[in-house]
Amino acid sequence: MKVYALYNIKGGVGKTAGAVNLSYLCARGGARTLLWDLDPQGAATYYFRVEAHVDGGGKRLIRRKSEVAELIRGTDYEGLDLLPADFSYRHLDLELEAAGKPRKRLVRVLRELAEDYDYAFLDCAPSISLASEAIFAAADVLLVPTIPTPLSLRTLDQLAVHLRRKGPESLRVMPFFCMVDPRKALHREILERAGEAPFAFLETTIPYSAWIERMGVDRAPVPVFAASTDASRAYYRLWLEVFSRTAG
Amino acid sequence: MKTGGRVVYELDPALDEAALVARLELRLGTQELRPVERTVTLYDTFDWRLWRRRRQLALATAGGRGRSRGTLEISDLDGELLFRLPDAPEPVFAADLPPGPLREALESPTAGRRLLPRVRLRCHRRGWRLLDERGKTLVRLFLDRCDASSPGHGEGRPLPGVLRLEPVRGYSEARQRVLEELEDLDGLRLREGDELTTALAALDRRPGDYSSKVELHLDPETRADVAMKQVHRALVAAMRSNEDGTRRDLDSEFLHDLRVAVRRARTVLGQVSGVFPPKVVERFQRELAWLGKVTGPTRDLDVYRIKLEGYRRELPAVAADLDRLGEYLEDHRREEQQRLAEILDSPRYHRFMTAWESFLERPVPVRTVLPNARKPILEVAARRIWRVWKRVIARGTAISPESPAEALHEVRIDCKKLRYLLELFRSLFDQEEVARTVRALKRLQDSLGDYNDFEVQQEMLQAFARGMAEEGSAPVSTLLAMGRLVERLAQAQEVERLRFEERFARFARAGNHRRFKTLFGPKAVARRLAPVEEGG
Repeated sequence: MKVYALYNIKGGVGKTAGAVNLSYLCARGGARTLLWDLDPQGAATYYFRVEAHVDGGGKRLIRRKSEVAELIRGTDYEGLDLLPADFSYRHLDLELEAAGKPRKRLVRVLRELAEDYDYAFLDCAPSISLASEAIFAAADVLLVPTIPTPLSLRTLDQLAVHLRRKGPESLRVMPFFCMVDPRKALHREILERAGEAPFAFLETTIPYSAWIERMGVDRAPVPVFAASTDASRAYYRLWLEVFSRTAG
Repeated sequence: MKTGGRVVYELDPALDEAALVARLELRLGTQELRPVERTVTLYDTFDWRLWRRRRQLALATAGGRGRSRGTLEISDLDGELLFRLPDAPEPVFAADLPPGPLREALESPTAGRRLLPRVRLRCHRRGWRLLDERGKTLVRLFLDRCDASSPGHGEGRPLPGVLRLEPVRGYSEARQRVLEELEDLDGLRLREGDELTTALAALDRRPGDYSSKVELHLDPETRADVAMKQVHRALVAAMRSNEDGTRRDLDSEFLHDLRVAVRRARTVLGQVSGVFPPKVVERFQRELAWLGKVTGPTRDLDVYRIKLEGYRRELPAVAADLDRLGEYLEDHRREEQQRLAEILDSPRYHRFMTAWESFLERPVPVRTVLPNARKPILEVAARRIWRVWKRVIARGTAISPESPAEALHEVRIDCKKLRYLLELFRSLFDQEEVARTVRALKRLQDSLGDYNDFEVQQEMLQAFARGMAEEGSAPVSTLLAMGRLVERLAQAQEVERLRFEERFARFARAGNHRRFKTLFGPKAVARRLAPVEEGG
């Protein structure tokens, strides 16, 4: 099982949109796919119309007291399952610490599911904390949605520093630009400066699009309700690029 | 993906579809989906390797015509989905599919055999989904009304309607609710048997109608000539079954199975003597020998094609140099295959097969001067097996490190004869005990087979090298790489030669001797054929 984590220290940068659309496209290609909503706000869970509640909460899940398989919900899309969010995830750091060996916890849960899925996508809450260290340990690839602003590039530097100290060496980091508005001079400028970032950016960019915002209204991945839009095509190209660089 | 819990109902023709829909839509509150036309083709190998392992492979395409691309699904025979591949082409060989779990699930059971479309279903599908208050799908239901037809030809025959319940993972309560709602509906019952069997039954066929193993049920008391006709009829049927696939070159196993049937027929015709008139035996022996010979070159090239992959792995340094050999093999195989197809269409082949079949169908004469014809088959078969066993032991024991290669060759041929006799006559004896003797024999045969194989491969490589040199098409590097291969094969053959004594000693040990004696020895057979004493 290959594990992709949609991660950024900053919030509101398009992590959930990325996780929902990429996992949907991955499953549409025939792969057995799991999306794990690790964000206590439960946006991904909401988009898939699933109830945001894990029996026993994050605590039980992390300690493996409940069979994780029983918490999984099938989405409306063939091949795509969801491990729903729970509000108690906002205490995830505390839970991880209390459970001991915090970094290994997510790895263990995912290992139990390794036979059932070809790919897992983790939709992570923003922060650098114990929970993110557990995510770094569990993921093969960190996909970092980044808005083209100077501040966003700075957070990539922070991530690089953090990973140098705490991150596993095998972890690959792939930032990509999203919410890109080509009419803004600043966006164009930052895109040109992408080479200065500590990680190589993916070539595909996700445009700023009202269709992506509409996901909350239609409660479905963009390719489902707006197949022939730029936003939908951009996610498809992004998935092909991620897949071709990381699969196998 | 563990979904689990799919349910398939069969609809009674008398079922009131409106009543069913009312339950689904009014009582359960499901939402109807747009009806669709779809074509589902079920695939399996010629010898039903998937079905025998309780697997089903289906390509579902949109529309009634059956486009070539669709969703490929492998499920178990209870209808539980294992893996799927959207936008898949028509499957031909498992190895040609894109890498992934579905291909992996197919590669080992099909073992290089071609996937053939076995039955085609043209379906009108109505669908419903049960939603919760968020608009989330909890259960899907499909009502399929299908016609089954043989792929490529034949008219469709209507199948009973089918209602499928496909639950969504994590929503077992909703599934339960639907099950309960449908429980007492008249004309709806759980389907017995799998989709493939049901669909083929509508065409008066059944899966599993071919196996490379010849299944015979012989009666020990039957006259030997009658029983031998039964044996040969089964073998000629195996030849017939594989004719078409061999002619069309569907995969290499058709020719292989055809040749095995020819060899078996030839062996028992020679081994079990005194049951058919000598002239008949002579004629058909000659024709079977001819058939064995003319089908040989294609098979040799098939074997070589497979071996070449092994060489590439073993000698990665020269793998690229062997490409030219691969091309040479392909070219020659194409020619040989064409020649083979011509042979199967030739007057000689047709004359032989029809004459042989009509001889086998003809009743045996009441009176006969043939010494074994009227004896019970048990006696004739056991005597023959016992004699060949003794010969294997005598010849094998005589082999020493100084013996010439021919001596091993003779033992190998005797072992082959013994194997065919054991397999074809096993229904006359305690089958489990026979299976044990076959297993012991197989171990010895594998060793002897490898020894011979290494020799044949060396000879063939040398012949190919000569042929390629004559054509002037081979670079020196290819010829040198082939030379290295010949050396390696000679070494491997030598190793196998040194192992022979030990392998043979294991086969000839007392336990096996006792087993053969109890099964096939003259006393054992006499006891079985003696009239049962009363009051004992």
